[in-house]
Amino acid sequence: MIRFKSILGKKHIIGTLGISLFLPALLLLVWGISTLPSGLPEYVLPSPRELALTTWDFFWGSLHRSPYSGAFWRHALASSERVAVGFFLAAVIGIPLGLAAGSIRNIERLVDMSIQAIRSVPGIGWLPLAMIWFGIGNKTTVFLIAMAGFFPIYVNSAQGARHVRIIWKRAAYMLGADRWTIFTTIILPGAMPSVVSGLRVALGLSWAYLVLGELTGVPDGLGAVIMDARMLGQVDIIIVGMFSIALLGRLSDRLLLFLIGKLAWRREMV
Amino acid sequence: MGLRERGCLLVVEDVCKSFNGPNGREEFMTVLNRVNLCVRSGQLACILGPSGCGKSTLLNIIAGFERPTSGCVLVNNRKIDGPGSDRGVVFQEDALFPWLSVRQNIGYGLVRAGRSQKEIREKVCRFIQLVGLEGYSEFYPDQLSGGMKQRVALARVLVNEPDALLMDEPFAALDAMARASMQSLLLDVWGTLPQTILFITHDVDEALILSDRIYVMTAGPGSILEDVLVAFPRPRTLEIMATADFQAAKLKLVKLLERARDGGRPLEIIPNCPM
Repeated sequence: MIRFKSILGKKHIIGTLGISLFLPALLLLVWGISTLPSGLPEYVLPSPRELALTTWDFFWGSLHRSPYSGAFWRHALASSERVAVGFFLAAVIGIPLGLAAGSIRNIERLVDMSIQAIRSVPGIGWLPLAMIWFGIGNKTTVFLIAMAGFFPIYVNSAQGARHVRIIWKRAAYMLGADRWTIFTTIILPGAMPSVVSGLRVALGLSWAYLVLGELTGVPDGLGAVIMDARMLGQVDIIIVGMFSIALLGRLSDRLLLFLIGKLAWRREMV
Repeated sequence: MGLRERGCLLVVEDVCKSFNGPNGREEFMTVLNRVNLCVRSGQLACILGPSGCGKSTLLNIIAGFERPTSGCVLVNNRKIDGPGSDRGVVFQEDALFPWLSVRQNIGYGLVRAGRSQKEIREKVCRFIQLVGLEGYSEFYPDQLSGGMKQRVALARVLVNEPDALLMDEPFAALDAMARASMQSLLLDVWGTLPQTILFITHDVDEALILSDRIYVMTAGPGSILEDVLVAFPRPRTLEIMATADFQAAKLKLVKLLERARDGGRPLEIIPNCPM
């Protein structure tokens, strides 16, 4: 019975994987056919083979196919740096402010309405103002990322602090904690799961606003690569650039979870 | 002044508690009406009453989580003002900090009191043994059963050597087996470590097994109906439940509780408690 079940289980997994791979395979097929010599020209959509070679070249530079041979690392570093600075600013301001607003009534009254009002301006709406304030380039990009990341971090931190169980606070009080230690030992860890989900949403948004900022004209960064490639008519580089951003977004989320796991809080909190 | 007996460590004097009624400030719902009780040093007293009679509100007032509308609570002749580590509370719900291990949960109060690392380590270790959780010090609350969690909750307050221990139906959420073993544990602990305990329950057996004195509470509004002394010899074990004396006392209490329920009118809106 057990063996039968396990066999069935294995088959089942292969089955679902097969179903999941069906659409990508179909897409690849259609793509391959439509880029045959008689199909779409190279400057509209490169063939899978061309794209694979360009990708390899973009990362490792051994094929010297374009001005972007081996350029991935330089641009990825520039982009990551902007995301890191912007995201860091958002977290450093958003977490304390959110936790304070969520746990102290008067602070919530003081800041919450204004923050919610500013929040309804879409992030892209800040672009023209940011360009006037910070000029085209690095500072504008970092500003946009920090701006976009701040709100989900603030909202989730406040929510997390508000919903810390009252009984934990009561327990801490009767064990001799004062208001400040309640904040550091109960509200902070109690709100942590919520803070972490705010951070993850913010990090995802950071990459979106990175591209927006870099499109406005910076010499380096993956957004700039995409924009330049459009000017040079190199569709393959545009697609590889998009893929690179997705990859970095994924990796940074993993890194964030890893770093949070390293902190003293519990593993289940993530 | 209400009654104040000699040698009382914990005194509840004329405590009333009303909340604003559904129609705002014009009306009040009185939950507690002139509650008086006293627990002698080293005694275990029970508050026994039907659910909804205000027992938990009373305990919250004694713990300092809520303020009485009038009246006061004295511990060691000092009027209490807010919660403090002189009154340890064991809650009915699971109130352990889930992000701390068993050892850290028990040590929480000692750290707040600024004790040395060495002292904390030794004391925590001793109290883990006292409640029978050797080997579990690095476990987290979500890895423990309900009974084990309440053992940790008990150790967490005992380790601070509070003047009084307040227990709010701490075993009510446990299954019968775990409850019986927790009752024996409490009797054992209380034997080796004399404590002043106020224990809230709606379980007649539990009240009789544990206490020296039972305050029977009635609802609508909550007040003390009767004050029963329990004179079974100590040290006790759960075996006393089989004696004829126990059964007789139980019958008496069950009848009292029926009276408490009948006498307790449903919660109604009445003018504020007399000051």
